[in-house]
Amino acid sequence: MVVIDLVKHTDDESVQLLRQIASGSERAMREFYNRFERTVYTFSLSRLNDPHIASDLVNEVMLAVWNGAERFREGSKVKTWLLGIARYKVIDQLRKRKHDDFSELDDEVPDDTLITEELLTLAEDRAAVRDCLERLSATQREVMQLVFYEELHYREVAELTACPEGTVKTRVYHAKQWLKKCLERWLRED
Amino acid sequence: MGSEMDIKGQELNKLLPWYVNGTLAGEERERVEAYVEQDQGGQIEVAFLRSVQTAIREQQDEVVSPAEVGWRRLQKTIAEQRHEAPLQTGKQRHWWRPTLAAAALLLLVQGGVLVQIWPVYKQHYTVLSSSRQGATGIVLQVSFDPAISEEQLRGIINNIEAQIVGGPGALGIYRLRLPAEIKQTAAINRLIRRLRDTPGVTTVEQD
Repeated sequence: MVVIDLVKHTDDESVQLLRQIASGSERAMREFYNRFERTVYTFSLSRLNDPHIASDLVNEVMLAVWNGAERFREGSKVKTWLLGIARYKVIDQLRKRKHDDFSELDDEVPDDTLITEELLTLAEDRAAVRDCLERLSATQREVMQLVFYEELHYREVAELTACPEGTVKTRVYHAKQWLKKCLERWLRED
Repeated sequence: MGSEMDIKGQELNKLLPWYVNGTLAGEERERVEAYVEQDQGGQIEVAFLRSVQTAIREQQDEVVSPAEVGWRRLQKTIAEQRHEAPLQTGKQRHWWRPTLAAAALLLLVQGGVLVQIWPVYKQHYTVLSSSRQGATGIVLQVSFDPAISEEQLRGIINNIEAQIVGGPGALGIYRLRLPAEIKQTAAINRLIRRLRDTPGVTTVEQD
């Protein structure tokens, strides 16, 4: 089933919804849920890889919005604020599972791989790219998701992940290098 | 010079993901655009990143989120929460918690203090303003100018040999019992007039 979000909402409208939620409007909560449940779910799923826990997390995050909409600081971006709540809960889940992938070191990076014509063609093979994306570390998958799916600016990613902007750029760069290396292996295996 | 160009190229290369996701703006975007136009390696990188983005988008778009089922679940959770804390909505939901905590703490502290001092005061405390047991006498309601000193106030009360039996309340009114021997209306009215003429006294009425 392909679901495409055709409607782009302005942040002002979302801020307005949060104000209404803060005063107890369930109708505004419904609208807010419709706008953002998918964002929270796909983000959580990409980190946790478990649809049931990701669903629980959507409920928890939305309940946190219902109970704490007044804590939203105007001037922030709603999506960044929301993903910040989701990220905190994801980390909590990973801790419960005793996963340590938030503390992993991703400093090691493969040598620079030149993008050949073959590699570029393979990059259009969805199965190959997906397989390689799944092989990325959780931290790398997280930044790739935030940049290429949530389309956040590096400053927003830095704010969300509490990292310096330089670290965010380096993480994405390393993730890209790992992807190239992985695709190169696919080529060799063929 | 060449290595300086390499460093600049690397910096711009690291910005390519945000060039592809369309969030770069202004001068930063212009610099990256110029880099991509001039550098073939940069163009290939952009093509690669666009393929990656398409793959990620397609992968995510296939995900089936909780949607309506999730909303019904959330509604149920909110309803349960409301049931637990009826009549609480929005910002009002938790306002009472710190107040209640502070009140409980205050009671605890007061309780502790009372337990400590009670045995002492139980033996020695007497209400200074209380009337003598069995005392009778006319009671007046008197208010004073807030500017007068406590000494002046005591002086006025002593002059008429009255005794404080109540107050001051929120309006600053004292209840003063006159000596038992002042019973006759004429004597009472004289004393009231005298009091009203006393500097520092604002109002005098019979209780």
